[in-house]
Amino acid sequence: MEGSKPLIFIKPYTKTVAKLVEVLQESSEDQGTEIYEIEDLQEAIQLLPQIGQSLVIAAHPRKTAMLLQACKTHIKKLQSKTLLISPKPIPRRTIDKFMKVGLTECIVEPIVPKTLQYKVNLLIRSIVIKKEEVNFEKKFDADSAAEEADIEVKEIQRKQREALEASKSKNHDSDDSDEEDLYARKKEKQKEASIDGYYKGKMKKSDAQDDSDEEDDESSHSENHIEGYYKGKIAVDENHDEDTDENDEKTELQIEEDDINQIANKVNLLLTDDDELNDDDAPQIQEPIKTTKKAAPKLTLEEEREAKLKAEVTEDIADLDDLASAHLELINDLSDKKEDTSSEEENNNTKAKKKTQLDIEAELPKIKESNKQASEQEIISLKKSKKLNIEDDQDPEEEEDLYGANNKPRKNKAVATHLDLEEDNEESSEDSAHSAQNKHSQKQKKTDLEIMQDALDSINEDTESTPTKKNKKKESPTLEIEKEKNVKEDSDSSDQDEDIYGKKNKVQLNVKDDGLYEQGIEEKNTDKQRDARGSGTELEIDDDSARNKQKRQEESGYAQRSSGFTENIQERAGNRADAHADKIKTHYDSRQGLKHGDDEWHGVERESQFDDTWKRNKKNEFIMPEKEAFGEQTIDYSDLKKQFDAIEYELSGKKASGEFEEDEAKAKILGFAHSISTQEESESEEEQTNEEGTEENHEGPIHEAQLKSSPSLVKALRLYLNTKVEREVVLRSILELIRDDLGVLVMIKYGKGPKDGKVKVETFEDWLDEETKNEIINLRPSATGCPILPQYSDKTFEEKKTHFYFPFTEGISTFAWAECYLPAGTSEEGLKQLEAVLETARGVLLDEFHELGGTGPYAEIKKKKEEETEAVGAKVVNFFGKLFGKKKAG
Amino acid sequence: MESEKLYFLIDLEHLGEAQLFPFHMHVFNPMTKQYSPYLYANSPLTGAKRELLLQIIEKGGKIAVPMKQKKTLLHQLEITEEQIPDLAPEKVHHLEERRKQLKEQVKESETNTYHFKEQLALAASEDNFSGMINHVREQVIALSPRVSSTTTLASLLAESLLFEDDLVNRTVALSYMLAKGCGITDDEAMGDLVCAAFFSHLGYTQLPHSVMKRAQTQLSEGLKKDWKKHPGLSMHLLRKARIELSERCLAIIEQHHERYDGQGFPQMKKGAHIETLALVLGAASHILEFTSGMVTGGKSALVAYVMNVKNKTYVPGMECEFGPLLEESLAHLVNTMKTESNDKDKKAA
Repeated sequence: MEGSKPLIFIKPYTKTVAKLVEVLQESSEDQGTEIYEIEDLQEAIQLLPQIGQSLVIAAHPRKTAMLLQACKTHIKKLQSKTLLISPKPIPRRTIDKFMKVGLTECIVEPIVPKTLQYKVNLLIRSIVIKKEEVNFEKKFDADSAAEEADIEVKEIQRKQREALEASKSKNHDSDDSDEEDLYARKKEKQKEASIDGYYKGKMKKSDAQDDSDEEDDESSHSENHIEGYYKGKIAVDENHDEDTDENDEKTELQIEEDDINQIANKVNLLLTDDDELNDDDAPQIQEPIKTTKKAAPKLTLEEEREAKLKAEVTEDIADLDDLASAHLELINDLSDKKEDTSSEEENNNTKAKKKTQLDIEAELPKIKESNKQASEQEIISLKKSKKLNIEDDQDPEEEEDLYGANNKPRKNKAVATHLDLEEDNEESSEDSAHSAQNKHSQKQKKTDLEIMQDALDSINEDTESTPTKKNKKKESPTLEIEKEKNVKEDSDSSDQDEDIYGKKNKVQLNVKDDGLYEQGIEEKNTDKQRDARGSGTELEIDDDSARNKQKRQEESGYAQRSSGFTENIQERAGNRADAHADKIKTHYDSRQGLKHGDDEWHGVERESQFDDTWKRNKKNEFIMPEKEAFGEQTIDYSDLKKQFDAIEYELSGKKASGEFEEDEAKAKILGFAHSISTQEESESEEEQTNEEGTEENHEGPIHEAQLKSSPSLVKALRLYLNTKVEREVVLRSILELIRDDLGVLVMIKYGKGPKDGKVKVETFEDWLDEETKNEIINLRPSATGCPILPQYSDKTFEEKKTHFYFPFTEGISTFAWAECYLPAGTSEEGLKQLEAVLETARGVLLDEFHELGGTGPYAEIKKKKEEETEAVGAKVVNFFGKLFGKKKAG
Repeated sequence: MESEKLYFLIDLEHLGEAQLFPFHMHVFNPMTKQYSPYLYANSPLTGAKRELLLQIIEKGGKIAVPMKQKKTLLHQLEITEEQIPDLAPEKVHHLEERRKQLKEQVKESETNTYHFKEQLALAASEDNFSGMINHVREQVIALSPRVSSTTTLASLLAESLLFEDDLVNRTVALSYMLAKGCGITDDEAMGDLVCAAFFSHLGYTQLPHSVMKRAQTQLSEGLKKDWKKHPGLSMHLLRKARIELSERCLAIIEQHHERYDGQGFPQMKKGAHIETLALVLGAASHILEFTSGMVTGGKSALVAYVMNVKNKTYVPGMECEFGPLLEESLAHLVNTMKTESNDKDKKAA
């Protein structure tokens, strides 16, 4: 596997698909996939045919529809897988239409990611690149040759048909087939249109239209038949048609008859294989054959049967699907057991697909109608599963045009076979009575599914063999090559054998197609077959019996193993997450492949778990009790990384730190600050609510507080409150407080007034030398030169031995000021505290100021004094007045 | 008791350049507060893992080691417990330590439980509030520093100032005890109240000293107007001193002369608009000011004041509108005092 498997994602994505892309991108190397993410649909349309077999995953239904329509042929040709992961449910009909144009599967969200991945992985594994490419390349030349040949073939066929039509003027068969072609084409177009319409917002309309069209077509188509039927022409037509058919074929192939008969004699036993089929299906098939050949009977049969068989059909479908899925489960189990086996199966699967691909490739040179017809045929078969048997035998007739190209020997042989088959149908197969009996008895035991599978086999057989009827010997060598590829496994057999047993090989291959899981058994059987080539019937019986045995074993095994489950088989069958299963299921009924309920997938998981335990038990393994694993593998570093990435994301607004205790504290503080609404920032940092308020509460942080100058202030207040203490003492005490508490020497000078500039009190004393003292004293000689605001000598707050000027003012007049000497300097905060304590001296100084100025309280005192003196004067006057008489005094 | 730690945190530096460690390493996610295994013992700490570990630490994660492997780690890395911050003993805040010490001292000195009514009666009769002041100091300094900064400040102030039997300390003590009597026991509230009691009259320092020497009832209108500014002046001085106080504390200071009937100042607040603690402080300071003669100019005994309150004999300058809560409390106090005074009278007789 040199090349990488192309995996195409069509944008836009849903979340699921986006995740899927991520996951697949991660594992792309391991899986050997190459992921293309395509936005433009045109690009995808161009890419798809060139890239080979690929898996297309899309989430946009309309885009998918457009892509599928555009690349329908290429998808079919390349067996490309298309997976639609739809975010919303899609009507069944629409899905059917999707399926028809090449959709592998439609998954409706929500879907369990594991399940989706599993499905996708299965699909990826089913893609075969290298081989395919080689084959493709090889085939390419062959194809080109085949194309040339096909053109010739087409030409000849056309001529033949014309000739036949001309010769069989009354033969409706060809007309029918043509009609069917047209009908199929029309229907195809309509359905495609309806898909288009659905996603262009015309869904209901187009759907309805589509349905009605279909019905109309059918009815219109059938009207003719009904007319004919009621005109009493049926019997005549039937007989006539049969006769003419046979006659035509016989006449057509008269030349080869001798040869054919010879070969037929040689492979008599082989032919009986087909006879068996016909024998078995004879009671059912014979009429359908007629119905397909004849328009009117077909309809009547359809009408009559449809009603009767519908119930059976549904039952059969269910049974078939159950069993098919049971097989598939076994395949799953096998694949679980041995991956190799599964890969083999897949190889087989792909081989099978390849085979069908080859068949299709054989068609490709043919006109499109053949394709459409084929697909139409398939769809009909899907829709009416009970009709499968009928259609199995119809196929040859209906798909005559499809499989024009066949190799000579096979053609001859097949023609003979087919002729014999038809004869047998009429003559109840006398030649192969014995083998038929064996077969019959064997097949009676078969389930419906087996019949179905045989029918499917026969489809392949017939599709391979019957087209030769109308083809000539010189048909294209393409299929020769193809056949070589198909029958690669049997390449050891001689050319002669290949000629003779070509059909047998084909049968074997077909068997393989159906029972891929039986490869081992098959191989053994083929060996046996080669040993006993003369008794092909027996071999076939062996095949069947082996298959039956196998199936029964598997079924019983399945039943045993899944006995613990209460779901019925249908449900279990629906739980298979297997592309193969889906393929086959959808082959029977496209709807079956669309169940993706999560519950079901849970069932899968459960079952897989059960399988695991079952396997363990089976192997008698010693299971180590699961305990917490230690070791590096158990540590998910990516998870850790994600965890912490998330932290960064969540903390993006904050500091990316792990100090969450701090953060919590901050949060609490903020809460408190919020509650008290207006607090200084520094205050809010320190304060915190404490609802409990208990002493034992150690949870809250410590709230520091600074006394600052508060003790000094309170002490000063005490001085004021002590009425016994004189004013001067208070002032001096305050200055001493300042000196002792703050370390600042203060000198108070009188301001405005008679003592302006004189020192009132100072605490310099012996702390300062005379020089400094004088310097400070002489700094501001009078209040006139004093600033109104306080001043500090060092604005940097770094110097030592600084000076501070603090005025005491009332109004605009500075009644006193303080000259402070700070030997150690101070900070801004310290200065504020000094200011506050100095301020407490205000009451004393103000009192003196008032006293000196006779203002304030002293104004009242003065007034009183004056009043008193006035009163004293009056008394004196009165006294002297008394002595000297009032008049004199006055 | 703190639950035993299962892990302890280490720094990346502790690990050095070594690659193999005989202990498990976990990472602590502070968001989820969970420990996730990162590197099992004897697994190499490769460059990539070290890089991721660095990233995790940058994002706020921590390296954690199971406590069981502490000895292994210490031995391997040749370090001591002190070098690992998470293992080192928690630092005790000096305030916490101080509180502990003070509490211990209090425990030693504390002999009997304090009965406010008895003590108040005793203080009133003897005019000595030292006992109450000491008791309140012991109570206040024991306030937790984890409550609020104002509470802490109250504690510190009490520690440094609440000794002498002066008016300020008496106010502090009486307001504290009154609040307790009113059922206010919240530490934060008590802190606010104590601070407010200390600072509420700071504004007096801004009034002319002679005003303080006069009785409030004797002040002229102008001076009384100035005097009524003192709550505001207190606030001004506190602001100037940049002393950080809680909103409630400032409210108490501002409103300590507000009365329940709205006859107070400066804002003439009424009823429930007044901070309860302001009423408590107002009551305490008024009682003390009244009895000390600051109101009327003549000293009076607390008992006399109480009797007046009881007998509803209102004398000039006497205020008693402190709200129902305080009235109740005061009435309770009065009853006690009455009996005591009666007893005393009887004894005297």
